[in-house]
Amino acid sequence: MDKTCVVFDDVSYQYAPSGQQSPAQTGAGALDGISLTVERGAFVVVIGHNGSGKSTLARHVNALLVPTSGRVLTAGIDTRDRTQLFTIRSQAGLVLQNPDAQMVAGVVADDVAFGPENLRCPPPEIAERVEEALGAVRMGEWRAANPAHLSGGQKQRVCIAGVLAMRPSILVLDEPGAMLDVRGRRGVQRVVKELNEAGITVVLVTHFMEEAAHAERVFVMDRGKIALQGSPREVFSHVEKLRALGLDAPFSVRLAYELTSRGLALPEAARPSELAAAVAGLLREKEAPGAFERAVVANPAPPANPEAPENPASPAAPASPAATAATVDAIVVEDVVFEYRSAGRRVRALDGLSLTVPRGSVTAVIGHTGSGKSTLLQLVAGLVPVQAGRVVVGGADLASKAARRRLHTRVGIVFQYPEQQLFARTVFDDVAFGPRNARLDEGEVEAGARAAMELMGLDFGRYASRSPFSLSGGERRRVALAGVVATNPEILVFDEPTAGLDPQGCKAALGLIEKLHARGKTIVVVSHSMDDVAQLADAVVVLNRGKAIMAGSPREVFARSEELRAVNLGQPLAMDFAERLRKEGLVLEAPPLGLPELADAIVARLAAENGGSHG
Amino acid sequence: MVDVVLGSYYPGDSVVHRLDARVKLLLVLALLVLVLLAQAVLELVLLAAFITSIVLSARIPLLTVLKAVLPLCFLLLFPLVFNALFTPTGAPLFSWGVLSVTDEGLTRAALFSSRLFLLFVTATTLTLTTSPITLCDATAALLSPFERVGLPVGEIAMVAGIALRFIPNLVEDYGVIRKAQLARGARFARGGPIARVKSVPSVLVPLFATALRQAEDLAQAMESRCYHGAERTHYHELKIARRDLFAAGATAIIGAALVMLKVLL
Repeated sequence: MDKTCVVFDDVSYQYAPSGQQSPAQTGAGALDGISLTVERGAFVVVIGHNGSGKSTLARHVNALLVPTSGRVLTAGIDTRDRTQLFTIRSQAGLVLQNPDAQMVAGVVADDVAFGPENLRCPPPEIAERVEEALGAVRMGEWRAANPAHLSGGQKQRVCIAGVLAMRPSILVLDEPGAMLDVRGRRGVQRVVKELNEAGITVVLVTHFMEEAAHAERVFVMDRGKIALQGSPREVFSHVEKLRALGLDAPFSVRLAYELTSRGLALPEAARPSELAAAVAGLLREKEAPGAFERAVVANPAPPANPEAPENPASPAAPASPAATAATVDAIVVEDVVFEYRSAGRRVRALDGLSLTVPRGSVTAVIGHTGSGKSTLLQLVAGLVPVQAGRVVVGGADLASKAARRRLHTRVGIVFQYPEQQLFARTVFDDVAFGPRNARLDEGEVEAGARAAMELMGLDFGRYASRSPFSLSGGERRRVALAGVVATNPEILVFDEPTAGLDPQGCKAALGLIEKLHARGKTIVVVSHSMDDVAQLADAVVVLNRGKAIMAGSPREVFARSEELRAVNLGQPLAMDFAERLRKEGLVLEAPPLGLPELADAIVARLAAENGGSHG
Repeated sequence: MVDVVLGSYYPGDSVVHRLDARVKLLLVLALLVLVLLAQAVLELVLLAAFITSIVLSARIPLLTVLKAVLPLCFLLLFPLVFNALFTPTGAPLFSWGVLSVTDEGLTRAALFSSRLFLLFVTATTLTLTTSPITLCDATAALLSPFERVGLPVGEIAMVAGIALRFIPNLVEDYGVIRKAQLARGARFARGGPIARVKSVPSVLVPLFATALRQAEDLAQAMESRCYHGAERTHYHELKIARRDLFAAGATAIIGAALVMLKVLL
């Protein structure tokens, strides 16, 4: 039997220019002479920045799109053969990014049954397929649940089950983790890996490089072409080229690259565990066997934190006295309780929460889904009433409705996917919405909008009169940010500012936040990316079940890895790697927050070891 | 943070949940007719007892049922007031200008509103115990004779089911958009009617844009799962079981009892 599962033979695809297609999008996402083969049972990853054509490629596998020229064979069938359409689609299941938009039914099992129903399976067989598919994604016990009550990760697993119920031999996933939190993404990743081990061919489209490390083969796309391909090891060795394509190699590969460029001789390693072993191996070579034993035995405990120099006191200590805080702190939250109703039950979102945000700081709030982060942001922005406790923002107590309303020009809030909230006919009108609501005269309105747009990197002359709907995703996010910045608030609050962005977009978004901070704004940011937090924040508050359970500098908070793990949170990759090194017997001086710092620390440690053995 | 109870399904495994949806739909329709025809207090009491026993055997918390019915109760207000104030016959209890409240008026108002209340409870029990998609399937099955005259019954049922499924999502999106604009100083609840109408597009445009984007994804997901309109099989096979016959029998007996009451009284 033919071992190849999917064959692309010089495939090109052009989106038909239509009224709906904006100028920014025409050309983007097209395919230009793609040839590739995927073997039966393989795990293949396609990566590329937004608009590189990777989603278009995914939609060719199950004949949602057919090539303008060239041909695609899926399970040996030419996708242009419309008589075989349902065979192709049941053989190659497609899972999309947004789980909410993929579900047809209000009950989990009914949704999973949708495919088999369309394939005209007899009812007893449908029931069998539904159970089998739900079991495969570990959602069996949720069969009678309403999808609205599931987490994003659970929903996405139900979507995978919906495709599995057609008993496909190929599973195509188009950025399945882009809208999920870390935990949800991990759950989906595990399920996909298990399915692959059970024999299903997997084509995973993603921009999370760490996911690509598990693939057998990686295709990197750029402008509709395959720019790089090979094993993860081969592809990721092109660190510079990937960077030029707006992508980043996985952390361990970048670290290896940094270390090699600092003069260490390391083998190529795609996985963190391999690299940690290799680095520790370097140490072992330099040490006498006895010294190595001592190093391991002498340091069984986590590295003692040698008085993290830049943090004399934790700036976000939860119980700082409010009297002195009023002048120093932009936000003071004391003993706040917040409840809302859901499905007839009372849910306590905040349960005696206390925290402070120092003026001019970037304070990150972390916690898994349901820990109360979003409620906290809305509370601070004056969007929900203070039910119990005290909230003081910029010196104003938010107990009264009038105080909360006055807050709107002083605190700006940027929700998740803010570009989805654009509404006006022109970019200028959208950005000017805030200043106009503040009843400024038209001259001031224009000045405010212009300043905000320029700050967000949008040239006023070029963008002001364009429709926000004609812009690219990245540009639209900038417009949305400009709209919030336009009233010149002192405090800016961000909910997951990098959600759904590709690496380039993430970098740009973080850059904009840093720019606002440099202008003296106080920033509060909710994020589930520990690396974003490590890069941005100078204070971190950890929420769990509506309470602040830790607060301090990123270095202090992230050093408490056990406690973080207990509330389902991770560490920045650099610190995680330092931990691996410790287990291998290589203890670094101070826990590093970022990659260059980690590389420096490793080099310094090895050099010290070297010096020691000489002396 | 969204909670839409109206028309939303309360999953369960009771006899009422497991009734064949076509039978359930027909019986509910029959029951609604009986309630509308009931005139005397005794008839209503009988029906109320029957409907209560249905709700109890559905094993849904009474509070959930009441919460689902409550939003409809403002509809009771108008007939209640109308009947109470504008019934000319009967002994006047007290009068106020041209308006007078008579004992007969009060009785009528009470009867009328309890009839409406029973209607609401019956309909709500149907939607609470039947998932929207099953309800759509059942409606489609009952309407299937019309397919011969060219009515795309299956497609209509599918569209209705999906609309129901997306309502909570839209409510949530609406909440976020509104809050984002409130934070930018929008005044939704303030200003005259013109200011209010003016503020509508700023919420509806992004809401529609989001809905359209989701619709595009949904279409692709449905196509990917081989949806092709006509000729599907159904997971929940509609099959008549003994419990369906029992339910039909019970409803028939109640109906007969009501007719007897009408004849005898």
